[in-house]
Amino acid sequence: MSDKEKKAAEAKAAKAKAAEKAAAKAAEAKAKAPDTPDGWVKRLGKQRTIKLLNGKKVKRPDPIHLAAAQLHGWDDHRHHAGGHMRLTQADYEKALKAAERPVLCDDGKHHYVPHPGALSEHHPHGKSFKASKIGQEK
Amino acid sequence: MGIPNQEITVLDPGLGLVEASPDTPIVLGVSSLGDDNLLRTYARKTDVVSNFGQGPLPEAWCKALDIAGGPVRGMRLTKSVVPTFGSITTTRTSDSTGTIAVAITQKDAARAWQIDDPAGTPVFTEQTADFASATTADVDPLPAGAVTGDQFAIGYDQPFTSLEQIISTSGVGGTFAYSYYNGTAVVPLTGVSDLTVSYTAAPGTYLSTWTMPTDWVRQSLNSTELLYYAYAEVDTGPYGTDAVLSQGQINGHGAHDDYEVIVEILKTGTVATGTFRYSLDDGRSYSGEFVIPSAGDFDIPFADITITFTPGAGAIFFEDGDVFEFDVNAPYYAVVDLATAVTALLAQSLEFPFATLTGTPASAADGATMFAAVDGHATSFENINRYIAFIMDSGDDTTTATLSSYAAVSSRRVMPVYGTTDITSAKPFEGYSVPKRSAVELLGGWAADKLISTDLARVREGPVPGVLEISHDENLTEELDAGRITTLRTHTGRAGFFVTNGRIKAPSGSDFRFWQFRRIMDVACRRVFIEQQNFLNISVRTNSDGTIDERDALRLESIVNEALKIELTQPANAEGTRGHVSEVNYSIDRTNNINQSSTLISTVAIRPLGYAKTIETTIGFALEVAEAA
Repeated sequence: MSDKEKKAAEAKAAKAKAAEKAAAKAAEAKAKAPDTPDGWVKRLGKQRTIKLLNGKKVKRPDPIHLAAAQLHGWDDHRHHAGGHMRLTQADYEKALKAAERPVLCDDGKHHYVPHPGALSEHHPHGKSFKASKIGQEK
Repeated sequence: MGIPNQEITVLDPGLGLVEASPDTPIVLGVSSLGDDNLLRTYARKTDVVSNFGQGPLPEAWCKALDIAGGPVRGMRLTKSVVPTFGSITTTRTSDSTGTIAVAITQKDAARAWQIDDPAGTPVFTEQTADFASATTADVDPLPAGAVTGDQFAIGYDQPFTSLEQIISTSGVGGTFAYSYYNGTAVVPLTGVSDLTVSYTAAPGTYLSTWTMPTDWVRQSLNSTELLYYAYAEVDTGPYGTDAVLSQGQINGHGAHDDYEVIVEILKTGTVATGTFRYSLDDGRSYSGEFVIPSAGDFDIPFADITITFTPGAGAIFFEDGDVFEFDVNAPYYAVVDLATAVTALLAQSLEFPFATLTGTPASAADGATMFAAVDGHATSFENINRYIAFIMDSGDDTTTATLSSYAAVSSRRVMPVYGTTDITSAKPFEGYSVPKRSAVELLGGWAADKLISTDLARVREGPVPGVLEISHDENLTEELDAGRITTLRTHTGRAGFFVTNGRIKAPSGSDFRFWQFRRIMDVACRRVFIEQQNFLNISVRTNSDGTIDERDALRLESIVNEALKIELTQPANAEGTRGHVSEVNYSIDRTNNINQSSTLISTVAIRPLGYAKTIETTIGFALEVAEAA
């Protein structure tokens, strides 16, 4: 292989590497980009296939997601804000964790405490969750 | 001694039998005994109590057996939400100084084994009695000069995460790690905090704790009973000086239910002289009289709560009339625990019409979170053609907060129930006869007792049994029924308490406004599903356009209609007339080209009974009055 050919091959390899790096960066950015809760359900596979009575098969979020949606007011958000809430993957996963188990709070009882990064301002108790001592993990 | 005589005592209940139930529902919740996520069926309360002990699950299970008869199925859920104690309120007669403290009763290990050479020819030396007793320096947990692999095994009939041990002689030179059996091998426990420092800490009392494993499996050691064993296994040896213990006890297995505790001093004095009694049901029933123990600690049986009396400076220590009050909040399951139980239920082939979720969410917001998950689970069952409704507590909260928290949720299969009842216990014990219970337990039994078409609020069914008081009377403050939350109520001129409406929290406009519509539809779905299973892959004659031949359509319709009639239109309803529904008809589509589509299309139409929810009457004096029929 001549020097010219060698240089060309090296340049090609470097270009491919740079493209690969850029693609990985883009994928990483996409993964980190905020998405809707329903978007995260699909992307993370938190779904079950449901067969309806008419025989059609649809995909529905699993019950922990449904509990998290209620806890964080995601449906309220869609209703009042006219669009889906957007949150990062990390916030979405923390929201699921928050809906799995209640924690001991200042009132001496165990409450499900929403993850602040996933809580909609349109949740009926959103403000009180933030303002009140109740809901603050002990 | 009196003159010769006989005394005959008739034991009742001896058999503990109950009437057969028309339906076999399931109760889910937590209890002091039993295994998690295993379905059990019992028709006798004695079996429920001996196998599941105390807690919301056995209380509701026994209540259902009392009201509806048996059998009733039940499943214990993992209680990852630990019990909590409210603050103690003290009311003194004058200026006594005594106080009480409260804690979960510590338990003795069921077995304690010193194991020498477990990997070779194990030599078991039992330490159980010495480990339980307070006698000092009588427990040799490890063999003399313990080397790597030697073990001290502590067994209990429930998984445990906290062990308190008293070191009397500190060990020197070795270390151990805690481990457990996962069904395949003995593996390390995680999240371990061992304040005994492998029994090398200075003499004293120390806690060892760890994270509860999810796969802990019982074992039999030395041909004894199956138990959950925690192993302290030497990983660095030998011990130059052998550790000697005085005692060890297991923490965290008590306060099994919701209790409203009152401790009342009956005789003025200090420890060993004063006396007291206790109540677990807010004073509606009391224990006998007890002397305040000289050591200060008194264990309330069944509840497994320890009260510690501390006399203080005096001169009056505990005085007649002094009252100490506190609440205990029962352990509970979390959303994730319910998901595990549902996975186990989905794997069962047994069918059940509905499930009662015992226990009370700490608030309405917590209840709504649980509700959303329960609705998701109901859909999972429906997905595999198992048609199940759920009854759950809406949460311990105000009516306003309940309406607000539940405003955004709906389900065609879940009935949230609000409020508590002061109700006769189905399994009373000393000091616990009329506890305050979630109304959900009552509703579960009440629903199991009713025909599928019977409105849970039907006044002629009579008042709900055993209820002395209710926390919320919808008749006085009509707040929650319109929000599709089930409540209890009074009726003017009638004694007792009644269901306001069996409300499913269905979305606006849904047909499933009331419990009976859900039940009827589920019976119809189940029947049609079973009958149509016989139609799968059958052949039918067709017309020239590929549609089903009328003769075959009629034949298939007749099969399903007959079955539906047997379930829905022929049985007597609560009024004594025939039919849980007014009419039902199954029909097969005659326009579908079955040759082409290979699909049989059917429709079921059900006309339900009408329910007299409101009665409007005009009354007045008149000259012309028709003779009454």
